[in-house]
Amino acid sequence: MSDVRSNSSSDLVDRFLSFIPVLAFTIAAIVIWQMVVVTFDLPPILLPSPLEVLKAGASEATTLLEGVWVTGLAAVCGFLASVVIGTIIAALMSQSKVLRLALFPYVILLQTVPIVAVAPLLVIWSGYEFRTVVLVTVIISLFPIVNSVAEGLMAIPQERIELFRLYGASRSQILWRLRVPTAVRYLMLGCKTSCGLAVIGAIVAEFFVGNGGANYEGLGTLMTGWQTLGRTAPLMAALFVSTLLGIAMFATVQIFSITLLKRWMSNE
Amino acid sequence: MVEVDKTVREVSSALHCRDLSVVFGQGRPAVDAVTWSFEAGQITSLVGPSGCGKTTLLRTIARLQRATSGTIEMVPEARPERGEIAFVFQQPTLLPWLTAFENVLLPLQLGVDGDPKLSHRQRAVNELLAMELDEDAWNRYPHALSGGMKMRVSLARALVTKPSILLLDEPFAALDEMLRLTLSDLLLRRWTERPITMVLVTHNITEAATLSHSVLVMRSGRITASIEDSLPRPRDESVRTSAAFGELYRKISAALRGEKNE
Repeated sequence: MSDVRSNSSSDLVDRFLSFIPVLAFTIAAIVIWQMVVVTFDLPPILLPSPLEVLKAGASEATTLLEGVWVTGLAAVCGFLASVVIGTIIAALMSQSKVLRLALFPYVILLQTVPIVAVAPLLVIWSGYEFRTVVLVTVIISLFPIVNSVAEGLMAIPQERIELFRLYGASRSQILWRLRVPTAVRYLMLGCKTSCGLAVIGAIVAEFFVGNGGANYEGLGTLMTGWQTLGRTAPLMAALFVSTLLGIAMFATVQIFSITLLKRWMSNE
Repeated sequence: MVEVDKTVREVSSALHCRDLSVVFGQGRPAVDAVTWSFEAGQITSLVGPSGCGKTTLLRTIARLQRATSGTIEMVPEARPERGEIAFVFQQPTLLPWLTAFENVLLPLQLGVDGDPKLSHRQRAVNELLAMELDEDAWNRYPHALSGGMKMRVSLARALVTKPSILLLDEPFAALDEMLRLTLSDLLLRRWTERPITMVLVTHNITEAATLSHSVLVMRSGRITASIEDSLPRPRDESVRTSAAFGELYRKISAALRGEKNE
């Protein structure tokens, strides 16, 4: 396959150069943080120094890694379930006006409901379980998927539909050969928003699930535990780790999306 | 001449519109009781001011628009879902997730039958070759094609089903003058090889004069003038720069302004 590409080595240099400002800013922030702690002689329970956070992270590495595994698994399961369920809901909504009118208010409700208020309720119904965490994750990450896929299925240029109608294409041919390929691109946009929300959903759910004293050790449970014990350093380490988890999920989706859409990415 | 007529009968359909009207809502008709016979194997241009109903007429023939009243008859019978009527949109309307080659294959994959002697791939290859699209562009996705290349693919896709009627809705409007001439010439050459019935909507008088056997002027949903065009074919540079061509141009633009023709 022939391809038109700009010089890749200069691309690489450009990309490296674009990292310099953010790197410099990060280093500066860490230095200022360390200076603030030292200058004002802050107690570690209020604000531990970067070095203390790093040490706490290292000594709790096994616990944190387990937490990442549990929370990550819940987030991934919830996210994937959202992709499947959200796509189905969007497909139904695109095919029938009645369903669209019936379901849309609930889709909006999903987006506006405060997840922190729903989580305790779900814990009562579903128990101090892994599945509860997944459930909360699905609720929070479903909306972007439904919204973007529905938009993708509906927002098809009129002329493309007419092209298919001209050749007498069946409803299923229009769905599979036109609507679905168009929606894939929108789905990928939804996934990028959704995967970040999934991590948030999992951690929020774990705040409540952990309270039951169940044998559940996700990042959210660890955070509430360390907060009660006044162990600020590992708490902050857990915060950084959960951020990294979110970034990792986003990056995975992004790479997957670019690979999938690379063939026909354009600015149109 | 007998040979040519035989070919025309085999490959093209005549198109008879009788009292054809299209009304949107409560407004005045977009197409107002049009009665016209488009002869088999002839190229007809529809010109007229914006909103005169020329595109609506074209879309109605393609069955993309329902007629409010009147009939359209094709002799012999031609149906779009069998690929016998093809439509070229103003935009190339390529699917961005398919390569140029796959875009040409699309009508055949949608189940439009046609010449069973050749494989789908062979027919797509033939059309792309006929449209003179560089072979290294065949496997490119539309975003990596120039405007002219996209229109070549769009024309190849329209012709791949071997239609007997080809409808073109301002296909070259977005292209520059050079490309417009190149593609017009290409289309004329394709017509010489296989003289099918073509109806072309255009804003461009030169394009209408270059391509067509007759030019119809539309105004307020009606055909208000028809200008026969007896210039020699093929229409090469010498024809396009001749005094007779200038005269034809003058006649068309006078008719567009609403002046009487003899």
